[in-house]
Amino acid sequence: MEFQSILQNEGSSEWPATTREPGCFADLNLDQIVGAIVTDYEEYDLMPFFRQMPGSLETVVYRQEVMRDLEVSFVRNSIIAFSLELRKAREFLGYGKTLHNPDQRRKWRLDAAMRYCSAVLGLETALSSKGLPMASGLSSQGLRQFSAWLRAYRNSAEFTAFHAQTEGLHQEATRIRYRLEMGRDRVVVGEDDADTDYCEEINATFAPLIDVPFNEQIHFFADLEMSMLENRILEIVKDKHLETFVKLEKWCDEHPDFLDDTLVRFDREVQFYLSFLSFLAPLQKHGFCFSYPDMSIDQHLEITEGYDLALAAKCMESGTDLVPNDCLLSGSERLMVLTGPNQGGKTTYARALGQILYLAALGCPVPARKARVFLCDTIYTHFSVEEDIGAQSGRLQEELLRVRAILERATGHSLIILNELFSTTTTRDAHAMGKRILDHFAALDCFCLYVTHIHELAQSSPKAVSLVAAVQEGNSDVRTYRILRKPADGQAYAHAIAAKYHLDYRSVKDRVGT
Amino acid sequence: MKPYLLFTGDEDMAAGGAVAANRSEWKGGYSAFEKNAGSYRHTANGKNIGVARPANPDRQVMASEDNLVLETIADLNLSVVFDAMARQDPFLRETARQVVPVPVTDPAVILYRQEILKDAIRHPAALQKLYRLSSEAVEDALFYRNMNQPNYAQMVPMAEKVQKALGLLVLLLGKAKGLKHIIAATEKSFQSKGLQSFCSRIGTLLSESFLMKADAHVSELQSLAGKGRLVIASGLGQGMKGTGHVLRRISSPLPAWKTGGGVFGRKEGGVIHLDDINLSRSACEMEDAGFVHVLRVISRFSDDLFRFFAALRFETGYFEGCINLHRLFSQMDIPVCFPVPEPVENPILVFDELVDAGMALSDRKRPIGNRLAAEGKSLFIITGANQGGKSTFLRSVGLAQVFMQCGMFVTASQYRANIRDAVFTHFTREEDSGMDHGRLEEELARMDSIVRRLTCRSMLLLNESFATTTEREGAQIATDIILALHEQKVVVLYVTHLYEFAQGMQDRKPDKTEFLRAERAEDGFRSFRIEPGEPLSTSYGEDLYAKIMTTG
Repeated sequence: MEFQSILQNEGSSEWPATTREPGCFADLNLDQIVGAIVTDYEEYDLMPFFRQMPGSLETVVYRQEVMRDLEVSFVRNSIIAFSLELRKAREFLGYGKTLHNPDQRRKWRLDAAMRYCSAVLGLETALSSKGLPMASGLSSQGLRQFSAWLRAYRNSAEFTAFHAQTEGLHQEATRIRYRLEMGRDRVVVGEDDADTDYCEEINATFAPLIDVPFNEQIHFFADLEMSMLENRILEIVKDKHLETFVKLEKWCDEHPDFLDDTLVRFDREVQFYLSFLSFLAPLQKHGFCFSYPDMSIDQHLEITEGYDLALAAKCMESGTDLVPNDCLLSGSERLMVLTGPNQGGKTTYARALGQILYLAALGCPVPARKARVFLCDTIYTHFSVEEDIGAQSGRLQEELLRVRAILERATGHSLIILNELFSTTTTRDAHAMGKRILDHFAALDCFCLYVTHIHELAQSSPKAVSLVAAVQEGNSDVRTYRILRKPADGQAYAHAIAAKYHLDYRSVKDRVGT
Repeated sequence: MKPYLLFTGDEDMAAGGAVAANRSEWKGGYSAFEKNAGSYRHTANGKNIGVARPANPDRQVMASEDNLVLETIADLNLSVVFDAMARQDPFLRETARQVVPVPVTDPAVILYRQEILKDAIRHPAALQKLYRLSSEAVEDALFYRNMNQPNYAQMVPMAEKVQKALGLLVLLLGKAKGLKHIIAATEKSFQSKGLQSFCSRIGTLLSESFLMKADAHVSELQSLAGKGRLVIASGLGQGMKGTGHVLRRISSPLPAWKTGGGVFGRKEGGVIHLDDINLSRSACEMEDAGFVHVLRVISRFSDDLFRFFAALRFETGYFEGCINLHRLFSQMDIPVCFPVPEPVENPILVFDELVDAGMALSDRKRPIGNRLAAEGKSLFIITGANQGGKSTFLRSVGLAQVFMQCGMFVTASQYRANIRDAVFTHFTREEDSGMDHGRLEEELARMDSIVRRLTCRSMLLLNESFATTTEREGAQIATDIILALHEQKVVVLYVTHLYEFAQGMQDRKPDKTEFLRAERAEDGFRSFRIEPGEPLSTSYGEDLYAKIMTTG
């Protein structure tokens, strides 16, 4: 029985070791998001998984299923426990290579094997139909196949024998005890006469008076490398229990490499899901919602209450709120022309849209209450950089070169986000150029978000809709950060003050707790 | 080991809940004493050697605590009460400050404290002995610790540290024996469940056999630390490192392992001579680790005993403070009674001869008392003459509520009221008296922070609130807020001059509402009594004007 990958159901190609960061990452703040996701997972080198869209609807569905299974805390925690055990095993194997005392190195290898066996057994039990708390079992194809493979591996004659041998030897070593009598000029090593623990006796006397039980241990010789005294003690112990030490040496010769390749690969790849979910958890706890997008090849773009994930992470830290927005296109609508005041939430809206489509194409849940989106092949972005407004002619040329590259590569399944293009030219020129670009995308039938101050562009095509960053009614200085679909376009003093402190009748009534 | 004099001990079982939350605050209290006890020690012994007292101790100590509690303390003039409870003992004052303002919401706990307090009032000497002994235990232990401060330095050998730690344990065990004597002598005189079970529980824990065993352990450990010969048993752990170390009792030395001398050709295979600096250094490390373990074991018992005495000091200190207060009231011939706490469901506020305890303590004489019999009322609108005793009335009710909910007596001949989850106060301050919108906003901001915390089980006392704007605006704001609070079942007592508001409420005739008025006879004589009565359109400012102008 074979198992390939928990990240894709087809093909077995390994991932390229390094994938370059997609061009849209910086504009969409995906670099911040992915950076935060992988930060605690350095040893697994997850960056390539997040930088490459798999590009197939089957893979996206395959991943969504696995992700959903992993949202079940039992499943997730079982796999985390497995990974932690494997990490320990790897750490121990490292000691088994570097330390000086050969007996110590061998013992670390044995201890690593114990961890490895316990990782395998623990996960196999947890993912078996008996272990799982849900009656229906695992629902994802990926984890079901993995679980079946794991069962076969765990029951294989090879693993069973290895496990029995390892455990037996480990127990034998654990049973060895000795006693050290500390003299002024000597340490005497002898048989442990199995007397009671003296400190325990004292504890027992005082226990009735104590509220919290005492669980301290004696610790000394914290270094991994053994000191001269430890080496001398171990020599004596080895002399006394030579048989066990000889067996250990033989075991090491017989099992030079016991980690299974499939498991090692699974351990790495599954971190893609775990890292994403652990990034989500605090946000969810904080009230931000996520949903699995309904994915299709067809041109759907319907997002309800989507938001910028990087901004959400910042809001969580500062304890502020953000305003989610919808993006609902129907029929042949493809082009969104977004206008409105500066700092009104336009760029945030653009980023949220890009992030949602990117994460959706990765097979992840997206920052939105609900989403039904197409599987995009590439996201092309151009965000103007306000600082270099000075170099005008150079900038227009650079912009046009960028846009040309996008026009040449974009397909009907691309998403194009153009933010404040041509802001340095005259409005007339910007209008004319913008119209031609939008016409191109209309013909290509791809989705495009065009952020501009030229609201006339909204009427440029029947496929275009106008979006506006709204201001408060009656007070155009107050921005609401709401992006509304619409054509581009004052109470008694005491009550007002009371309302300011949430002390109007309605507020007070709502606020008093029960 | 816990005294359980302020709480019944059952609360420890019930997870969560207001009582459990309270308990954690007490624990914070103890640790604060552990830190500050050094400065308390000197004044408490009557040998004040110039420990500076902060100008306003309430603000100083509670800076990190709840602002609303601070305001209630200031508005109800609770500082005077704390001072009276303290009788110059800063520890008692601090204890009162921490216990009194925290409302107990479990009637069982209120009655539990009341019973103990009755016992304490009957046997003040017994309570005082417990308080003194626990104070001594805490302060002697702190003194010992300070004296042996260098104990914690690196240079001191571990064995010596163990010796010193044993000294502290001996000291505390000595106090425990003293406690046992007090308990044996006074046990029979107590009638309250709290003190009876305290005596029997602690008496059992500190049994003769326990004290004997403890002494035996101490002397054995003393000789161990003196000779410094440990026996450690170990096993083989991860990577062949030693693990599962335990100390064995010293018995007759067992022979070393004979290793046959095969590998290294030594005769005494099991003996390692410490003839190398590396070897002896490692041996030292092992020995130290063994002694550190012993030290931790001993320190834990010492710490626990210390915490117990600190808790006992705190809890008996509260009752000691109550006794002090009780003595003052009886000297002034002010009636006190133990209030009847009622469940929150049916609003009730019934009392007789209730006086403002704070005013009595400040003026050192018995003020005029008030009576009220209000059942099913949850909104009290109090109007009437200036200086007619309205604020005093409001404070007396607030103080009685606070006293009841910390398990104390109240200054009345009878008192029945509901248990509330909190008492909040919103009093107009001197600095609020002007009329500008900055002050109104300040007032509303304070109100906002109160509303944030109010629940349908809370009590709110308002004194001349919303008077920092025009009467019309003030009345509008007040009507909105008061009606909303009333409909949400918050108990509100509102002293107000806003006639437009009072009259408006009168016209609306909301249910469960009582109108009270500062009494005034036709000749302008004020009795300082508050009686049921509808609002009148003036507050008799002219009375005051006439009085001042004629006498001046």
